[in-house]
Amino acid sequence: MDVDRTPMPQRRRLPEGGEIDRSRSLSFRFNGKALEGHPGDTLASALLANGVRMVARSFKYRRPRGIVTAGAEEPNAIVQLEGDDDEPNVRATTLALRDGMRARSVNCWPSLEFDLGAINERLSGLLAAGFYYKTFIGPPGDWNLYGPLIRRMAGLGHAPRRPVERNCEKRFHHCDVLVAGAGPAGLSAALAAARGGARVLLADDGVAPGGVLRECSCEIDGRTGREWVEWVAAELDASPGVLRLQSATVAGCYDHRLYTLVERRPAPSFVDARLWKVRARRVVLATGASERPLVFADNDRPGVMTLSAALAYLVRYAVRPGLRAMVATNNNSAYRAAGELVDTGLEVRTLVDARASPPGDLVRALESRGVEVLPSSVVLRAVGARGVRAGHVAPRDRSRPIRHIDCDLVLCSGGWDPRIHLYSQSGGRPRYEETLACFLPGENAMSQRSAGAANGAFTLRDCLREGWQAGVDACCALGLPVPDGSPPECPPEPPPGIEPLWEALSPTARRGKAFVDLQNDVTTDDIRQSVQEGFRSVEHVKRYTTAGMGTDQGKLGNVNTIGVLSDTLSLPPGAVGTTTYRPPYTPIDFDVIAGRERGELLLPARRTALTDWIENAGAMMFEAGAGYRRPLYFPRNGEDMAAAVAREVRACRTSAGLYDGSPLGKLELHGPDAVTFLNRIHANRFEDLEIGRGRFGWMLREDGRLLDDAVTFRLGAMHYLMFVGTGAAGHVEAHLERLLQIEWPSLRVFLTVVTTQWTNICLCGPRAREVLESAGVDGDIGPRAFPFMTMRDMRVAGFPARVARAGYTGELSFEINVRAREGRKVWEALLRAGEPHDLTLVGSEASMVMRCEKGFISAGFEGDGIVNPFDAGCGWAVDMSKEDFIGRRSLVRDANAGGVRPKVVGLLPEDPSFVPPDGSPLVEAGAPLQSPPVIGYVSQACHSPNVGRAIALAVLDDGRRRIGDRITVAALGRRAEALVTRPCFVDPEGERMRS
Amino acid sequence: MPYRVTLSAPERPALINLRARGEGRAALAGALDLELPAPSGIASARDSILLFGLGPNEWLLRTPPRDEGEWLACLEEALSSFLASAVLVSDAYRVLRVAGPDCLDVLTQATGVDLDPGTFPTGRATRAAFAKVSALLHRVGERPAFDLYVDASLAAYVAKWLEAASGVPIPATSRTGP
Repeated sequence: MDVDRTPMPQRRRLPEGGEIDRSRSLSFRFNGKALEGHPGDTLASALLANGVRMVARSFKYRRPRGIVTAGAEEPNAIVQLEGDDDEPNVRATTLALRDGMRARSVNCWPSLEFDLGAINERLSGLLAAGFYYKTFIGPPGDWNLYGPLIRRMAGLGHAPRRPVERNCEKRFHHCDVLVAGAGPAGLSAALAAARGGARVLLADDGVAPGGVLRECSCEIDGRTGREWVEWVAAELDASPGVLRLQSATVAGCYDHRLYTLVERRPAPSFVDARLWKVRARRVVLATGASERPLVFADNDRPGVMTLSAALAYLVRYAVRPGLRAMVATNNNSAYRAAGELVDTGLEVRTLVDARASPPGDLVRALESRGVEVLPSSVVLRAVGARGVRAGHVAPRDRSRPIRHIDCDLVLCSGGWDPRIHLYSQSGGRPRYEETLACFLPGENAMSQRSAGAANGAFTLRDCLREGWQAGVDACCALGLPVPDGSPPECPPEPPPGIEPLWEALSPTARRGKAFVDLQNDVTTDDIRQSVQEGFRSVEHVKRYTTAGMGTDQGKLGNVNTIGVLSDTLSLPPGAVGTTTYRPPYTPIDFDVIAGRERGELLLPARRTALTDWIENAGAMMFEAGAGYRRPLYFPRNGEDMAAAVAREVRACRTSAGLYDGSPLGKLELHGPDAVTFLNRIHANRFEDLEIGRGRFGWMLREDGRLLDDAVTFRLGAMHYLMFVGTGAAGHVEAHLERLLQIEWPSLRVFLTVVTTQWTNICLCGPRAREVLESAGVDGDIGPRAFPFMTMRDMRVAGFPARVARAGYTGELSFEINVRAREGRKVWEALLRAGEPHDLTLVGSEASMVMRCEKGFISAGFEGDGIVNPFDAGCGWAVDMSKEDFIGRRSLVRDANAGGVRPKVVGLLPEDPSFVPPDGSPLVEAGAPLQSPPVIGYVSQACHSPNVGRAIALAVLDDGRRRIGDRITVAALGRRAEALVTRPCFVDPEGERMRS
Repeated sequence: MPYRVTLSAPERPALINLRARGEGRAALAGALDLELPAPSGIASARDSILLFGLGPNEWLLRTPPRDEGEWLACLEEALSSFLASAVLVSDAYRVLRVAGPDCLDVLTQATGVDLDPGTFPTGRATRAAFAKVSALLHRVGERPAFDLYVDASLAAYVAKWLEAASGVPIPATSRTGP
């Protein structure tokens, strides 16, 4: 463990300062060691406060690594949370410290200090760019050897071992102006937009607003930077229509200005995380800039970090990340930051500037603080395997020998990279700006603009002005009043004055590794090698070397990769270009994406008025389609499914059964053209349907295939009620509405869905009439007064009902439709009345067995997209003499095309106990075992208690002519002979259902 | 801490789905003595009845339960000679009420409609996708309160959804089946 032996807790914490709450301590464990921090700390700042420098090992070479940044760019300090948190891939630099937190390093085994995988460093010659593409290509089957080893080595931690129980919320939001980032530019923009009266959403990923103002000493409008931030935040909070979020990262930008935000630990407290989906009319991207590291040999040693990160730890968290620092830079911003480090209490011995002539006033200001400034010099190497002990510094022209300078921190400031991720995600093309040596937003692809450092404005004054102007412009574009006031003002600063430095090459032969991508262990040699191997496009080099493909998406290293590539190709960086930025900006946990859509809220579940009753009765429920859970069967006294279903089916055929048919789709048609509409959507005629009578009909698709069947009753002169199948009800309704609204708007018909207005109770069986009479009806329900396929309004058990003589079982049936609120009362009344008549509760499985016994065609089973109504044996329900109907042309074509058509037939397996699985292929009897021609399939099979054996419906080529033949069912693992029969096994004349 | 809302399932009102085209529109407006509201517009109200615009030619009438039969008969009579229809759908919907200062915090978890009072003032009603299902949203008061009209078969699911989203249970006395 690379922890100093001094037992003093938080020995790197300054005695005062910082934004931490020193009145409370938080205990946490890192790699098993007990440590302490304070509220306001991140895990990273707390580790540094305790003197922990080595926090992880690298992905490939397993080199010791330390904390590099203080924000979302962090490539190294990725930890595994353990215990209740149990979360992989967490950036220690953005993770707020909590009491009891347990974190562990990744990429090391058995421990961080002693890691067996570190052997990879010795083998690095074999592990160069693209080694896996070259190594693991064969021979086939050997992957089974490599795979488990590579899987063990790969990854950043492990997936949670238990279901995650966090409360994650998703929320939609609309605003006039979304401002991403609450640094100086973002605060200015939000202030201007709010004063113009806009609905503003200001989202910032820090715990407090201010961005860089939290750690630099400056003056704005006569206030200190921090005072100004508090003053602006207070005005925003008091403005109506302004919402200000902290710890909220704008993660993605999508079409039509949809932005996603992830808010961590928002109020109210029962929500752990919130995913915002924001639709913004105008967007200001004030996301700031990341400080770019410098590239030199062994630039990955613990203790090498960005200069801005060191300043953040010192000022925000009052933590000294080291004792003696060396600063390396190529631009002016480092001078001011180095000065602030010294002023805050960190010893800075040397500033190494790659430029020949840094501004004299900046140099003097530092020298007056005791910092030696070395112009025209570079850091060539960081010395110290487990933590920096020194830096090797040399003049760029090699005019003097290499100097060995003792230090435990090398703080790099290689320039600033605007965070153009959201701009790029919106479809914008970044452009390279020579004078700033960075990529800037180009033309905007959406109603958004970048402001401040995100737009290359690297002085505070420019940030404030650009932000303000962006807010003003947003108001003007939205037609809002021009905001009062003027842009915030501050004293001028020197321009960045940067000279790009992509790599400081060491003159010695054994140079050591210089990393561009720390997370994926990609070195400058890897980039050069990929160019030697023929890769030119930055996208190809990225994929070949994996530079920028880690969970940090190369936030820190991508521009250095582009710079090294441009040097290697002798092209300007602008000609090399950037890779594609994709959402999310930082990884989002799956449970945040899932939100509440898990468990019983994963999908909307529908319930009928009887579902509670049915569940309480002990039914086995199943997902029945259209969102309904329905009873599959009602087991009695420990019955298994086969026994229960057989009992239910027998009851329906011998006494009576009761079934909840409420999910059946119910559509009311009104209007003078309703009959024309029915004629067009069905294959049969409806103009001669009398009031009070009903008719079965097939609705076909345009291609003449089965869409769904319906039973339609005529309730009045221009009033019809259609019943359609449960599963198809939704798309049949959409299909009919589309026809009425788009295809035939001139038809005078209104379609109203009344599915859930009615509870539909199916009472069937030879004793159904007696049961209904016992329950109490106020009309004659005898076979003459109330024949098959008629509907009557009557009272059942005292409640008004629409009762139809129709059903799907082939038995005497009544479909009793009552208002949903009365469904349960009527259901219970029928059950009471049915007791002496052996009335039995029936589930869906029994219903399917009965349809199989009767050979009733189901669009869900036989409607396979090939079978037409003639194939299905429903030619009696097609009237080709009608003027036209949907699917007619295709039926004519089928008839004219001739050839072999698939036909619905029945099958009797030779083995009466063999129920072939649905979908089993049919082949000719005696066909060869290997790949015989398939001549059909089993559409549904079951054991029929009424026939006393296995039966099946099937779709068989030319099946009508094959009746009496024997064919083979090629079921999984079994071939069985079967006799082809007509597709009806019970009451082929249909006398029972008409009785 | 849960959101500051109360959830309830008020007594089931009477609901009649109305369709009309051409002269049927005037007949319908006359029978109700109300202006026909546009889809997603401000609901028309008179005495104890409310009329929501559901689509270009479709409306939903809400009346007290006791007036259901009378209104249905009256409308059927008034519309009988026009291209119009009146269909009773009282049992096809359940109404859920979400009220309280954090109302929008709960509702905007379920719908992408902009419910800010500036764009969605009191009285406005719209059909919208709500927690993956279809619902009619109606802002009923200055003190934030919304009525949600959801398909009766989905009422239990939506109620559970609201409870999970708000952290507040629906009182048992206010919970009834479809």
